[in-house]
Amino acid sequence: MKCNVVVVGQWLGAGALLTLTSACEDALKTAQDLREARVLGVKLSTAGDEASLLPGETASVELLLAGPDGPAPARVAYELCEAAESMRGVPYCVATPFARDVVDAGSPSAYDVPDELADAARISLRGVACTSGEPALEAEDPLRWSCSGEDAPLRFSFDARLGTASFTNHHPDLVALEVTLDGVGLALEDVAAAAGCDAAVAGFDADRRLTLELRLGDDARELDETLQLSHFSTGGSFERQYSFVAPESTPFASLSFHTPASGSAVKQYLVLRDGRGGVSWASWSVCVR
Amino acid sequence: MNVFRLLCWGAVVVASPGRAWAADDDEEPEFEGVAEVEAPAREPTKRTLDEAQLTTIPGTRGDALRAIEIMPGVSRTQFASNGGPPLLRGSASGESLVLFDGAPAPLIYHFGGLTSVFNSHLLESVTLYPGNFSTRFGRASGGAVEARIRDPKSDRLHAMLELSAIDSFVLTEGPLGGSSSLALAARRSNIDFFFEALLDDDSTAVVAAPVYWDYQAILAHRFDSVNKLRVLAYGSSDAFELHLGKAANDDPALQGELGSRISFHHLQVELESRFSDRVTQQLMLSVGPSPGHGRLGTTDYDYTAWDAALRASWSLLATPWLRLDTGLDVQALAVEFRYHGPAPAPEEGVPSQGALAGGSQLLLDSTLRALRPAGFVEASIRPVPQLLFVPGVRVDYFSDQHAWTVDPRISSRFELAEGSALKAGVGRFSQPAEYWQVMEGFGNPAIKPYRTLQGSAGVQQAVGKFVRVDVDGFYKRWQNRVLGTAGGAPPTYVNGGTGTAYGLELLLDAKVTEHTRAYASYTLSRSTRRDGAGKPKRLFDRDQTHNLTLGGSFDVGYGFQVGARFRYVSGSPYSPVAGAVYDASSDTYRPLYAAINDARLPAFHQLDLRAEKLWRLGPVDLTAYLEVMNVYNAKNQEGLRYSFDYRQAAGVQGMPFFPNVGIRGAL
Repeated sequence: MKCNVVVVGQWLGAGALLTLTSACEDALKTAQDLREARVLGVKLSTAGDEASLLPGETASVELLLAGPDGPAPARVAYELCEAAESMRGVPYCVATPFARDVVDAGSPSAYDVPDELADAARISLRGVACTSGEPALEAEDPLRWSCSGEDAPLRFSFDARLGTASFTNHHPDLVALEVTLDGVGLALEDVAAAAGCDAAVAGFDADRRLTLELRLGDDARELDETLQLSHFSTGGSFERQYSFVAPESTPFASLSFHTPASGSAVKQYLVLRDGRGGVSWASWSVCVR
Repeated sequence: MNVFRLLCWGAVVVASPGRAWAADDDEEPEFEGVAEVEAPAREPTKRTLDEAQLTTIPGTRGDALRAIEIMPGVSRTQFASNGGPPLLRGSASGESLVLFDGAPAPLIYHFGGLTSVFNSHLLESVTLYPGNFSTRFGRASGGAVEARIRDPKSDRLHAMLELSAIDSFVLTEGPLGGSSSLALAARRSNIDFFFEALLDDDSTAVVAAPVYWDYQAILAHRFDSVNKLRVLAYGSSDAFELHLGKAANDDPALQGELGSRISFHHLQVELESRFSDRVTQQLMLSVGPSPGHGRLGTTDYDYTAWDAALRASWSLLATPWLRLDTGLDVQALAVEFRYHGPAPAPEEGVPSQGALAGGSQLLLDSTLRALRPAGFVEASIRPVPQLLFVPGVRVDYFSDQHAWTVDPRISSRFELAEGSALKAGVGRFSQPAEYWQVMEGFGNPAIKPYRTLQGSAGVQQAVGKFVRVDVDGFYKRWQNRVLGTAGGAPPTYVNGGTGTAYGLELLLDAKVTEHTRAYASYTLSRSTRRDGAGKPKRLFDRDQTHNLTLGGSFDVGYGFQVGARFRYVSGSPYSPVAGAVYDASSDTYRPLYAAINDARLPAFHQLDLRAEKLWRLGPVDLTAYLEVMNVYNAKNQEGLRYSFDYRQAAGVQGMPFFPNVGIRGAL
């Protein structure tokens, strides 16, 4: 059995501890494999689709949630507040939330950003999604964010900065995104669409190791941004969860994808983050025959 | 002279009071013609590994400082997971001292505990004070370990070369002519020769495999019958650098370069003076830099620390029943520190907060200057030959924390009969906050030193000709402990934590011959903390209810010596994950805990063996040894690792079966 080597760095512990821990047994599930319903991304946007919110304006919150069959219906409770200053852990509010709602996942939900928020304040979004039952978010303790149904609550949070005269940010632009698998172009589709295997979808052999290439286009990022790309697939497996596009590099990423052992329609998701609150996502289908 | 000595294999010696006075063995100049006397222990519990025992304990790779793990009161730590002082009597690592001839050690172990940074063959003894130590030592709320460096041999030229799978060293020593002698030693690790083979992940490139090295130079010169000078230079370096081709699967911050280089270099000057049989003096100055830098994905740090220690002590045998010890203990510290990355690892009692990605990023560029002078005085009073009282007081000032502390301490011993003694002690022990906890821009400059109140009592008893028994009970209470604030919110650190630790220690030693010994060491203890008023009491991260060590060493003849050590230790507490919150800003998860340290890992048990064979080949002593750690490959669980969303968990296995072979030649 091939072993993973887990390298643990200890921050300023004995200076530099390198512990090699053999992890040959008890392999754990990996994040790039969508084997159960999960929140994959959260997006806060202005009416003009900017990532930097402005006091006094209307904004929207949008959730990407998917499971082993692709889009997963869910009820979502969320609240928005001015975030307390903290350095680690789940963010918490410094004051009463200014927006709170319970909605269906998948469609943007609008809210107003209060005028009285301080300049450069950080906004914290906290929420819980339920694939069965109704969500409840009334407790300060995140462990009590719950669902009335049987499925486990999908708790989530998101941090955003208010826009100022010196800080504006756009979501990564995916208009020019091109996706190829083993050199074959894949058509982008609505994240809410189910995985398809019709004639329009390119087909690939089962149990093959293929290369996925992502060309983001020059406008995908703003200056000095490092884009973090997260990869998810409902079938088969990507070699890794994350890719990165550094500011000075070509806006391109590639990684291998191992197709499922048998034929199926696979839905794949790409979520981009610019590290400053900007988030975009895209999806496509892969037909394994 | 009535001298009681308790020797343990595994090297435990508990010195007990003599009925006549002499300078303390720790401070007594070893001049020719001066009869060596076993000193009265001024601490209720003092256990010493002597030179002959430092390098032969199974499972320690012949390392003298790691050998103290066999003693009661010392908690087990995961292999290579603690580069600092040992955990003593329920205290954290950073709450105890390790001293080289009275100077604080800048670094104790290579790579978090593989081996100590000072060659064990140059040590005369290692003494453990698990608590209630003398006022000579301070700035620590736990215990102390004092390594005494020996003089270079002066009879002729000596040389030693040792080659093993882990590291190799060379040591030479001999006379320089006149009254001087010199020892030089150097060691380098061999891990880099096979490290890359351990990595089966093609995306990880080894830029610089882990390498450690250290050196020691000791020059001793005797001016006359009164004064002896020693000059020591010692230092070490640990370095590695990897390139991770892809991010860790659950942490986007862990990608790119991963590496560190830390080192230190110290120059130490010691002057011992014996003005008369009643008056002695010791002066020591140790100074040097400790630079380091590291990178862990998107986190990087760079620091340079200069530290100096000055110690001056005087001993006066005023009357046959009164001895006075007094002195100064000064520490100076200058740290320049640059850091960019997430908030540092949380304090003890705060379980992992998940991935490095997400959360606030810190950008620090700080400087700290600290002067910490202290004075101490101790009187050893013997009103009757059987009874000894040692009251003392230590006064410390911490310029970086603008605080004075006054620590009174007292210990006593009563000899019931030959080989039988009662002992007790109580005292206060103050400790400054760590430098980053008071650093402008990150920590809280208003933090004050915290303290423990320690008490212990015990009995020493000789049983027959060969067996010695030492039993101690201890109690410790923390006050004003430094706490991290919730989420690391400003001011990041505050005082206000409390805690208690109590337990019972048993040491049983049977020494049949010089090379045939057996011992049993057992500690029963409980260490708890309360993280502020109104907070629930919780277990200390490294609380270990039971800690049993059984061992022995046997001379089987024909140059063969074999030894074994078996350990059984309660599993460490941990905080079970009760849920997680998806951090959509970084695509990671943050674990949630219902309670802190309310579960335990399975108990640890391990058997280590060591066998060595000595050949005398003319002037050369050739020794080959085989040491096998975890002989029956016990799958000890040292922690838990989780899936990305914390819904799955699996054990982290500790060190597997691990053999190490080596050969040593001594001229």
